[in-house]
Amino acid sequence: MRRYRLAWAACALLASSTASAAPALEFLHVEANEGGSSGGHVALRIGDATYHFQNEAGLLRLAREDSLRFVHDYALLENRPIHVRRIDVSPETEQRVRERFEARLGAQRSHLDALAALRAERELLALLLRRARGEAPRAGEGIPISGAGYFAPAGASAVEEPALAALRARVARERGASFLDARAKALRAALRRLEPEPDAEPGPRLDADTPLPASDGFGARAADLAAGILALGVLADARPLRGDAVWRSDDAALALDPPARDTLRAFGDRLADSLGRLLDASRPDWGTALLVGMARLATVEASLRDGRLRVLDAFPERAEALDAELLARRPELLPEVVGETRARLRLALAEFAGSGSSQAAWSDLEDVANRHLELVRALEARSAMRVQRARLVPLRPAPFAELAVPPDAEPPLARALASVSARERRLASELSRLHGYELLTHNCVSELFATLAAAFDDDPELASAALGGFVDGRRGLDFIPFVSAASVSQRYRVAEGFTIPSLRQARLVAMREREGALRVALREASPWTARSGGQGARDSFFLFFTDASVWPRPLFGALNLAAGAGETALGLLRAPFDRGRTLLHGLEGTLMSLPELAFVNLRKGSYDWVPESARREIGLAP
Amino acid sequence: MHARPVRPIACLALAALLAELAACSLSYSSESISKSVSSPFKSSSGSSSGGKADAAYLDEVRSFAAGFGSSGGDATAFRRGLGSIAERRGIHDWEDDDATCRAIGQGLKRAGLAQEKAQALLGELFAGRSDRAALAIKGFDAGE
Repeated sequence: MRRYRLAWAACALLASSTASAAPALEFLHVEANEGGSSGGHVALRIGDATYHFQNEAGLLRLAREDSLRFVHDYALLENRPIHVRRIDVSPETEQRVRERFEARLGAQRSHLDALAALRAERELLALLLRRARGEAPRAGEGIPISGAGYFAPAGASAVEEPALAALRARVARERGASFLDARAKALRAALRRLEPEPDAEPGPRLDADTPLPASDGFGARAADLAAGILALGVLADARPLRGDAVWRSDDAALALDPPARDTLRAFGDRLADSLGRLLDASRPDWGTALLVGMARLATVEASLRDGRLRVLDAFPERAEALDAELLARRPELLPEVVGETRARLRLALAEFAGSGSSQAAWSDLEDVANRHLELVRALEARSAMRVQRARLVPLRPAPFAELAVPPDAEPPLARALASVSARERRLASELSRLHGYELLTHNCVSELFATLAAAFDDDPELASAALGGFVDGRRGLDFIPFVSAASVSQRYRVAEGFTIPSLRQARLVAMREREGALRVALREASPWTARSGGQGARDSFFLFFTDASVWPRPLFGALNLAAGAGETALGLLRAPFDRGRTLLHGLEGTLMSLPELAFVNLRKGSYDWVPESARREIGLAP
Repeated sequence: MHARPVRPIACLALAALLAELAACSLSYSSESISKSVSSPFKSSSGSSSGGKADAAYLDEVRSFAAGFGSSGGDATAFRRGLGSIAERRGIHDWEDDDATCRAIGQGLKRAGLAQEKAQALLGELFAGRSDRAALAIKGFDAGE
């Protein structure tokens, strides 16, 4: 039996724990909006995890998101209703599909990691070749070693880091005073002996489900040895952290209460133990782990000394930045934003205190603290704010430049460089073949259904038995998100359908109940008078919302079109001064208004900031 | 006088507009305050307590270990690959993380390995760390 409804209460399904929920797959169709999403979007929810494919610089990347976070981003921030089709399946089917998506996710990451490893190896070989040719070293060149950038350079400081001095003394006590020196000498000798592979295999043809093994080639081995040498040097000198490596703030949210101090002390002790063990680890990348661990240990000790949380600055060197102008444009939001990030920081600190001092909880705390402190810094300095969507992990690199190259090394290095360059090109081309985005044939819809089909060995009968039918996202018009959603309804065993409203939709319903339909319709028709919000900084210029009313849509569309044309004309005049920003906005507004003339709404507005508490407005627990 | 710079800008703008028609584009992060200050995980607990925040990471470890268990492969490449997965999660020393060790065992179970084979493999992976191998075997025995 199929039931479709616009149901706030149904959203509670999303909030329910997967452990207790009946096994199901939920096909999510996200309505269109402007901003690179005018064709709509699709995703598959399995319990807490929502899988979807996104076009990232021409590659379709499979992403796994927390299901609540997905709804927050799309239904609240991007103001896009999500239509859900729930397909009841057996526990085996749910498990099978989940494992297939996980396998593809892992395989794709391994493909991208392999490309990054080849790129790094090519850069290293090019550097060595320059040295072999006698070219002068360039500033900052060397093997980039993650974690090494947090420490003062060798010989730059006479002060020792107390936590590392204690660790060094412990190592000397347990393994002898010459241990660190002898180990570093052995690593340097191994690095000198390391030779590139001039004629390596070209690499296999990629398969979406088969991961590539992590690279163990010349570049990876050289980087491992270099990381080990740098880590041992930092420990031998008990080098202090650089001044800009650590967030030092008097923010009240960083204050450590006695339970937090106890947990931190236990975490520091455990960290020091594990760092000692890393010196004997069989894993090849122990040097990087030791560098990051030592930097973390130093911040733990600093936190205990100061009575306030100290964490490493985990933003990457070339982080994206949010315009200071954008922050300044919404001053009324900022106290609330800071209030929420501060509350998250306090929560993360409390969770760390209750975590049994795990690395994972410390990493969560680092991430949350970095985001809060960066926001506060940017507001105080009125400067751009560094941002990163992915988890913030402290990996600031520094170059390892001790690269001695014998004069007769040029020919083999040149051969190895040519070989690795060819392998890199081939892998990039394979990646493009396998994961390249094509609007009509290889998009978020086609790949979602291809992965679903792969879970059933690409056998339509097997898939039909499990799901009630078969949808091929590459046939007919099924590559279009809303068409594929209709196909799911027709062909799969859909037990239930409901719509998660957008934030503006939910607010309008609540307002109508309180104030009456006519008054709300008049006031909320335009972003200039609306109290429901919904015009974000990213949105094009428009005069009327057309998402809530159908009949006036062409009229509103015509007025929006005129507004867009006006902004376009202004943009032409401003183009030499604002690099075409206004012009682009105007053209986008004009384009988004055209479908409205034919009763079709794409533009729905968006929000710059939605507190987690707003999830209640669409029926979700915050 | 300004016509020259305007023309290429207009072309670029039109190209960007056509790109806008595409579905599935990466949801913009750099222009939303909300997305910028929000962590990409749901705060609830760390991996050692097995909370929701780490479901994705532990699934990835299980899946990676299952792939290794079923196809075989080089232990060094496995350690390096696992190091990358753990690094993205912010865990610098995965051998010291209890939940990671258990998830490795669970992944080998998923691959359908017999216990003797799993024990031998874990002994090789955790060379010199019998306590960690024992924890992974516990994960193997418990399953998912």
